[in-house]
Amino acid sequence: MDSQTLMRDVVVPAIQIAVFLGVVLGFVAYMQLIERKLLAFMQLRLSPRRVGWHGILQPIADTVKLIIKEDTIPAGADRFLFTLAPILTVAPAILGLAVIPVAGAPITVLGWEIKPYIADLNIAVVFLLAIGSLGIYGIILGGWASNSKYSLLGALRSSAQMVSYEVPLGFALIGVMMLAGSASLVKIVEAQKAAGWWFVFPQVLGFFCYFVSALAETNRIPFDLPEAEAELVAGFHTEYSGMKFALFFMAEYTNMFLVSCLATVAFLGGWLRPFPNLEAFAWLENGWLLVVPVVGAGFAGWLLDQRFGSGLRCMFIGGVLGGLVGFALGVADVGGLASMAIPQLSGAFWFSMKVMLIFFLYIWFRGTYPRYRYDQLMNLGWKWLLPLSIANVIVTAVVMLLRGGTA
Amino acid sequence: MFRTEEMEINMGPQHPSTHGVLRLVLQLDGEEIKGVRPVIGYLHRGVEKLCEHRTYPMIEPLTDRLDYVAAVSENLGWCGAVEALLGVTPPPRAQYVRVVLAELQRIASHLLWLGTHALDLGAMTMFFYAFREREMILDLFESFCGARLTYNSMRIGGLYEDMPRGWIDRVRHFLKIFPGRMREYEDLLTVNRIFVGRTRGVGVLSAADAVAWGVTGPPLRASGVNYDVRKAIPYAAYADLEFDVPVGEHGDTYDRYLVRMEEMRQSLRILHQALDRMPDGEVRAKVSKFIKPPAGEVYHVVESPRGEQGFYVVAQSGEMPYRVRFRSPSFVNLQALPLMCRGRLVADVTAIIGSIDIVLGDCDR
Amino acid sequence: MAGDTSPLDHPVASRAVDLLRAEKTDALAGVTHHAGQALARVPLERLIEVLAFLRDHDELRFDHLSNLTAVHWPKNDKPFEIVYHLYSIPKRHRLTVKTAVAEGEAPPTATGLWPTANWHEREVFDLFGVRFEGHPDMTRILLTDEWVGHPLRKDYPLEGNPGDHVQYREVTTAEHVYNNDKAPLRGFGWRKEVEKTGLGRG
Repeated sequence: MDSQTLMRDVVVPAIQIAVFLGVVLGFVAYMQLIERKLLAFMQLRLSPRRVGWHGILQPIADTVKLIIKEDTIPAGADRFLFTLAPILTVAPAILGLAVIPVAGAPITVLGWEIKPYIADLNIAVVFLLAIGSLGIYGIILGGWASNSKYSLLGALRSSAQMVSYEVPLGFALIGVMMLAGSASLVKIVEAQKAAGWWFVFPQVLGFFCYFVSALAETNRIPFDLPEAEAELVAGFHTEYSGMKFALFFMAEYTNMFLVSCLATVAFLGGWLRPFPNLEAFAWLENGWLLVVPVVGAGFAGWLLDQRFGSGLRCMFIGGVLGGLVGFALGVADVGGLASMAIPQLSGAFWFSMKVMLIFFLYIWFRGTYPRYRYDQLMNLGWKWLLPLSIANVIVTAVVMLLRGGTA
Repeated sequence: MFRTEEMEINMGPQHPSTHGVLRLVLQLDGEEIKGVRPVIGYLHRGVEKLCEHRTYPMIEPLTDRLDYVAAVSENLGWCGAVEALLGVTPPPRAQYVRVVLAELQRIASHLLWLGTHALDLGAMTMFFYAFREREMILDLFESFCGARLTYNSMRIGGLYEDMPRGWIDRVRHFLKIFPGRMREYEDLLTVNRIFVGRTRGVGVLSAADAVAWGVTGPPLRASGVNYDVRKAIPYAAYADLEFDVPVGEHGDTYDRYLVRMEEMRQSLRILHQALDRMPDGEVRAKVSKFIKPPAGEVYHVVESPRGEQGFYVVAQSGEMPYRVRFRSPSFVNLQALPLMCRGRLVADVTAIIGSIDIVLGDCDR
Repeated sequence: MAGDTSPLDHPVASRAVDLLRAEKTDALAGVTHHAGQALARVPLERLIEVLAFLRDHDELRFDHLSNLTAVHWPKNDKPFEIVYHLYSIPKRHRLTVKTAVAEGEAPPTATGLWPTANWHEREVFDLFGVRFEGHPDMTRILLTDEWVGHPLRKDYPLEGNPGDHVQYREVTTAEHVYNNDKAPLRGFGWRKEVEKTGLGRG
């Protein structure tokens, strides 16, 4: 093996993986802060504000605290499995990130072409489903090894829940794979570009099933039964502390990130801008042209609301006005702003916007809904979501057949 | 080789959703409840014994600390019991101010219940919304007597002082804001499919069972029994005021929720009337500084937000009562918990505990 | 006689008392009135019979046992009074029923009539040491199972070193040991201890 091959096949991918992992895990850590901020906003309270400007360093402080915290293992626990469980949970979650394509075009750094994903598997969807179901072992083992009844009940609930919801989750993705004709995530996005619309439109039902199952799969409200604090204290991780707890926590958020990414790729067009085929909207490649005015004006409006106590009126007005300004800027191409797009950055921008949208839905649900009960959860999964997702597959198949094998 | 056995799980005394230090020993078959045994007494402070060695006015602060979520009801009941022993009637203005305080307290207590009940079911946001309005009421109390939880603002024979200037306007301001806020709660919970699914048909208590087990307050009325002490044995100024007693049909957790929500609206109605008809005059009857009721005994009941709050006082011509017993609604209502939980799932236990709205300080005394 | 009582003791009209006088004459040991409330005294032997009568009679229907408690009168022959506060939800009237219990005597349980009596009776047992005959679960309820003595008795020591009278024994079921526990109280040692050492001040 010459040094060229070594660089291309080992060193560069290793650096890419390290950078990718660093960025994603950093993002995952900050997802937690964003969640706390948004949830606090919905719940009329202040979020972390002490560590850094508006709590911007809070995730770092939390991590440091969890690392230096005493790591207790309860008496009577199975020490080996107790330690192994968090690793078994977090490893598959991180592994799944390998197949997520975050942008369309490869970028070239120092002459090395770097692809916007770590691996483009032709069975990426199946790979993700398989990896996702591995995480459950960590939870079951953790719950059992803790030697605590609360942990055991939490683990039982968790395993039942994840096993049940994996099925509709898979079926919901089958419709997408049929439309794209491939299980590769890159191909799925490219198929959406070819079809001219995001698959969320032909697959509304599939998206709904996917989203609900994903909520359940990641144990989020309204399906957060395994860690229902009012009933089971903290479910399977009741007895965990310190870094082991942090790993469970990280796994949960990484899983959320993963299912959000998969939703983005499979249903929301991945790195594609809105209206990917219309030249009139090409300026949207410069996504910030739209997003910056909307967010800026909305934030200014929110500040006014805070000052004058006008509910959220100014925020909405500001957002709409900002949207109009952004639209005008883009369409009129003021100062050539709209033409200065870098496709790689644009893809990553839209990708992260869509992930954030899904993530926002997660938080919104958390701020609104109570928790399901165990039997209701099972009913919903097996009696509603499973038939619905199968019906979705059948309808998709029939329509494709009638239209001659295409969507 | 394999055998199945029931699991016994110890819920509490340190547990997020038992609201204090209640301990429940659950017999579980999987997630299904086979039996519940409440263990209480972790907050027992021997208040009844303390009362035997305090003068009558000195006991009022102790009553504050029984049901610390609804201290006004306790104050009101205690003063009412001693006034009955003395044969004293407080002046009308005092009676009306007492009603205003008691109804504000009822709303505050129900808000606390609403927030924690929703939190138990996983609806976290509701908790903060309910506390926002409860905070407004506590501010009102603070400006009335300086305390936010343990008021001790009543005296035997009336009140310590009249309302501060402008206080009525502040209460009216609250009355103006609150109905809109209640609509927010209803939007979040009343029509929420998950909330209804979690509460409807859960913890059903039949009317006959409710009466036999001595359950009172909203749980009794949710079972369809119209018994409200404010109507049945009117005290303070309740006889002059118009209000309805909301009654449920099914006796389940959802009905208990609806009954309490409606009670808050009725409290608003009472408050409007009481403020409009507020009579002028003194707020304290002529009562000797040394309160020495003649020998005798009285059993005085008031409607606290949790149910029938009874005060049994035996006087023996001294400055201190011979025997005091607080009949606390939490203590009695909690007894019906095993009845409501039988055959339900673990998750329902938290819903049911929340729906009977116990305060352990009141329960354990 | 009625002339020299205070207005507080004036009799009040009570259908329950009238009916009791008419139909359970021999089971009525006396009726008093105070602060507008009627009180009927019943001998222990007839207690359940009278309570059942009160609960089931069509004109009375005392379906709600509001309160059940005890009072300790150490100088009486029968030092304990068990008090039942009854209320009728459909008829909207109330009545207090009392019965006297001697030391060591076990009154019959009212749980058969009103299940709510269960915890009330356990509390009376816990704090007064009066056992109820036929009660399904006669254990302590507010205090720990190992507690010695019954604090709401008038002769329960109020001061002193807690170790002198509040002991924890290794028992699993609660039982009334007050009479058996003849160890003399070692005075008010706690206060002396404070004066001697200054510990515990402020």
